[in-house]
Amino acid sequence: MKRKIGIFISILLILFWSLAPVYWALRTSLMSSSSLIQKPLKYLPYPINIENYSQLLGFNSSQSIWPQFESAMLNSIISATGTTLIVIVIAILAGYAFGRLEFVGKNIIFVSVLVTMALPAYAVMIPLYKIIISLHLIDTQTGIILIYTSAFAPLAVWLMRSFFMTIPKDLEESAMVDGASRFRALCTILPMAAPGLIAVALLTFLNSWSQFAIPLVFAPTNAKPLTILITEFQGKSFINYGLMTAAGIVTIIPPILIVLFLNRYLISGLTAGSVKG
Amino acid sequence: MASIVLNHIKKHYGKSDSNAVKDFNLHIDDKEFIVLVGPSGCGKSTTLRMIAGLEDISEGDIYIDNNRVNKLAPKDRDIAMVFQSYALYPYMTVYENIGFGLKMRKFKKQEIDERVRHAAKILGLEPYLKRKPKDLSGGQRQRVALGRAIVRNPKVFLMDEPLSNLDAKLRIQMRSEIIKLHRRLNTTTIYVTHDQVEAMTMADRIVIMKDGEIQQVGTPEEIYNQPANIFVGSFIGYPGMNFIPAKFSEGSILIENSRFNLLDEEIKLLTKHHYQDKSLIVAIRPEDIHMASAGTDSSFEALIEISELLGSESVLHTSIHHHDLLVKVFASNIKSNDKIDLQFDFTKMLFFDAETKKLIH
Repeated sequence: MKRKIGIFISILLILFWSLAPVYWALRTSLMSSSSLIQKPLKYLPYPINIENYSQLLGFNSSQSIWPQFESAMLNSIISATGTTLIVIVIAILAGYAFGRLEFVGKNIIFVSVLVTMALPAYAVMIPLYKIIISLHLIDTQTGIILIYTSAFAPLAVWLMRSFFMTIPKDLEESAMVDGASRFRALCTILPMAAPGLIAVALLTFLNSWSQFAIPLVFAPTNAKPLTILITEFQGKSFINYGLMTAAGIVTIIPPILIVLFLNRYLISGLTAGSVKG
Repeated sequence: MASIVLNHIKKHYGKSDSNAVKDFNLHIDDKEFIVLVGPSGCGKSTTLRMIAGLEDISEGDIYIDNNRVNKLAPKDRDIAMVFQSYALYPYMTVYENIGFGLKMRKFKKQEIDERVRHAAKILGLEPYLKRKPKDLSGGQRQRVALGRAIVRNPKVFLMDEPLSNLDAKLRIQMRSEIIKLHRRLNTTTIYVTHDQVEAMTMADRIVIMKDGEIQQVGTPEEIYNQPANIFVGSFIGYPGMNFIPAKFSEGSILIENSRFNLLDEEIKLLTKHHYQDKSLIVAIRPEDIHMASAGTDSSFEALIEISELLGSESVLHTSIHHHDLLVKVFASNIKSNDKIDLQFDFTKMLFFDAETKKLIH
């Protein structure tokens, strides 16, 4: 019983630790600028003020920032979705190759792919910047998606490789005897790798969505995503906390929805893949 | 329908010198039911997978229907394979699983439907066509796997331990179903198993393998009655054959200091091969040792250490001069620690060379 209470309290603490900032952002976004600086501090957003949201989403025409917000939102969606799609294709093909095929240098190539995960992003920032400049891809969605793909593909390949290794070989061999090509055989076992695919897609999407440093350097204007836009609601002498937090709250809605609907696949995908590796 | 020829087939992995399959030669006739049998790791599955094209052939040639297939992909060899795990797709229905191979080969929908229903009828799967594999029993899954193979009407069936995942009772039932299926379709079949009973009951010819080498090829009768070496003799038959070190001298064999007179034919055979006063190994199957009345010529007294009642017969564990001896008798009244008189059936006795372990014949 004591143990249970201990666990319960620990969970409460962790929940508080992670949710308190979100609540504080929500509370701030629902208050007017004047009531924010009132003393004593208000813990509840009362009276509720939706001015920040209407400004953000363009309901209030006078000071609408919807055009900027809309374009940043689109940028975020395009870069995260584009990266996810490309990473999935790479992860399926490379994961299968590393998990199933025999070829010269397989282990060395696989380890090299994994090693890139250990490199901190900042270590490659400057060379990467030069490469992207020389390719004329700076401040473009293509450039951002390329960088994200190179950053997130190794983990995805690793996950899918472990996943393919748990699927019995017989299934593909049987398909090949029955008339399927190697690629077609891979397609027939893909439905069995679905939990792994969903896990890979989720991780990649969430990671891409929440990037800050990379877009700050590589996509400061045209391809600017939400994470960068949020920081711009400040003037020389004034920080618009209300607008900033409102934008933050809107920004976390898509990932929250995705996780809510797909989290059971995420968990089964990550654990099933980890049995063999 | 097709004959299959395996010509000096070898298989080695990577750079290692040891061969998983060593110089395998076999000619399989059209319509024949061949069983490859041997202990695990003997290379039987590897051989089957080379015929299927799932494993590269290191050396040698394989011909199916007189066409060299070494370089052909599995799908182009016109074979069907049944796997131990059944290899059914969990997300497809029984109907889709059976029709998969036809769909891959771009058959028309109507033709697929006819063939799947025909195969389902043969295998008694008609009521289950809409089910998923997880809703089927082991035997039914096994039938679906067979259905996948027969629906394509291939030249050759390859079966890799197809009954190993079934319980004993079902295994016996499916065994006879596969035999019936073979009689009906007459498709050349290569069947891999480690179970000697399956080999004996199903095969037209048995190929016994050990350590990547063929030990003997022959009909079940040949293999049972004339095992080429001690390994074959001990592998086939339950309980296993008895092997007793002995010496041939003056027309009889000596087991330690007991003398047993041999038949004329046997004396001739051993003399011809110069075994006079030499060591050899005497082999006799447990059912070829009989109970004798005391004092009969060349009978010997044996103490029964363990008596296992199998129903109509008993297996007796005993020994002759400290060499273990298994005896199978049609009697149920013999208990452990009984002393009984036994007698060899000399017409069934075999002799093996003590060094080469090969049959003297």
